[in-house]
Amino acid sequence: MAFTLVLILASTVAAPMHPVQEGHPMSGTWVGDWGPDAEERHRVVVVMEWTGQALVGTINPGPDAIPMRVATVDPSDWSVHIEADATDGEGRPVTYVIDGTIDDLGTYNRTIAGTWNAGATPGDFSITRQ
Amino acid sequence: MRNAAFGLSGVAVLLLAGGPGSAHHHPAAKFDPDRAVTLQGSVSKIDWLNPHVHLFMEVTDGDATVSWAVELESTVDLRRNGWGPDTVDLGDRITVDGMAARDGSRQIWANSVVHGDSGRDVFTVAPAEPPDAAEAAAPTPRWPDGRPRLGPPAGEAGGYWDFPSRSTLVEDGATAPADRHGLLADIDDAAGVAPFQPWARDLYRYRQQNFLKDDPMFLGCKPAAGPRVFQRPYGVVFLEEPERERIRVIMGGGNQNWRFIHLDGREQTGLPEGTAGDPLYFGHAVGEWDGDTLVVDTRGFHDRFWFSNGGLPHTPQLHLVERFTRTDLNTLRYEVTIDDPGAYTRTWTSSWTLRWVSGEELPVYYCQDNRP
Repeated sequence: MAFTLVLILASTVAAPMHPVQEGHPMSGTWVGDWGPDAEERHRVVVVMEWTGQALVGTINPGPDAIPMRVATVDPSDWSVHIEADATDGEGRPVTYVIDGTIDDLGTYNRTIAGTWNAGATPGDFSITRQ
Repeated sequence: MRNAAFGLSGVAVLLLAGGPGSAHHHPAAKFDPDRAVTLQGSVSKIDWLNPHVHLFMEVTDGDATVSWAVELESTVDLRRNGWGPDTVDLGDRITVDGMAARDGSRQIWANSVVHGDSGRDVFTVAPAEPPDAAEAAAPTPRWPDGRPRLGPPAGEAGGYWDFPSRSTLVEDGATAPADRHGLLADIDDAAGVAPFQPWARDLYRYRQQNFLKDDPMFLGCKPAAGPRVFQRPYGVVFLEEPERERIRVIMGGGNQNWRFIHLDGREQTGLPEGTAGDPLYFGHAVGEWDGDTLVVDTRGFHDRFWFSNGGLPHTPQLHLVERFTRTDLNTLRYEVTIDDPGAYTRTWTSSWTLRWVSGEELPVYYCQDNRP
């Protein structure tokens, strides 16, 4: 057999098609969950928009919407910091302090994951852009 | 630091530096220049489609026979160089040198294809060259009212604008050499390309450092829009429709999409995210003549496309003022002022020229023939 394969790569899986990256990486609607541990999770919807000078956003838009008091992204490492004043299940004020990093920056369905602290209660989160 | 795409060795460098204008994507967006592959086998299928022609070949290694897809340039570039779907026949033996797909699939970008035992190189593509400039001194063709014609001279048919003198958006006065896809020769030039806001600068760097792999034109054949229309291969036609007081701009480099420039004095109604009547990729364009220059004001873009080769970011606040001046028969000067306070710290301007291709029709290039 004269034919020679000098190099064969292992996978035969064709490249999937991905939606596109556009505009400011934080703009859009993000869905995921947060919570103090693997058992207690809270589904969350986060909507953010880049005004040109600042990020603005809302956690769980609707009658119980929580506006973001602080929302920043550091493009040097695409780290995200969010603060929002909410109430806990018993109606007591609680401040969310959320820190994460954008992953898969180039894709439409990129993610942000990190820590989501509700007052003194530490937790984690992961949200995916829709 | 030089861009990784230009730090390669061997055949990959020859491909990237000397190859023709691929209309679709930078080879390194999909293929890894560090994974050189040589294949010998027989042709099992010829997929003669845009955006890229593919040869399928059966390759035997020991007792196993596997199929590989060999990616070539577009049908337009291949035909321009004298190749066609009958250049090779099913069953012909070929040897392919190239680089393997980044995702590990059995796909290869062909740096060279050698046919059978003859050793003849096939599917080679030379860079497209503008037509002979012998007519450069011919004056600007004009309508009876004296206004410049943006299409062919009276009595002639066909023709289009191509061969932009600059391949990507760079602020006038800045120095940032780039290849035909907009990939910078030196990534350290990125910050000087435009007056970026920090996020836009770093997103631009990210796109550059990833070989433009997230380009919507590459991923889903989304249209080029804004100034990118005038930097894509395969040209642009200005179809002047005076009876309707508008110009239809037809883009050869992307599915022959078109945008309208309205000249009837209507108000600019484009808003961020467009309006109900706006074709959001192209915004809402109104134009008027200022002497021999057509001045076009466009707003109402969304941000689901890249408005430049090379991936400069923009936001729905993008506002363009474009100036088109046909300085002679063969030369169209294009100048665009970019106002996007969502992504840039101030307005800025870039300009280049396009060359008239006389008597020819736009190449037929539909990216969607073989893409979503």
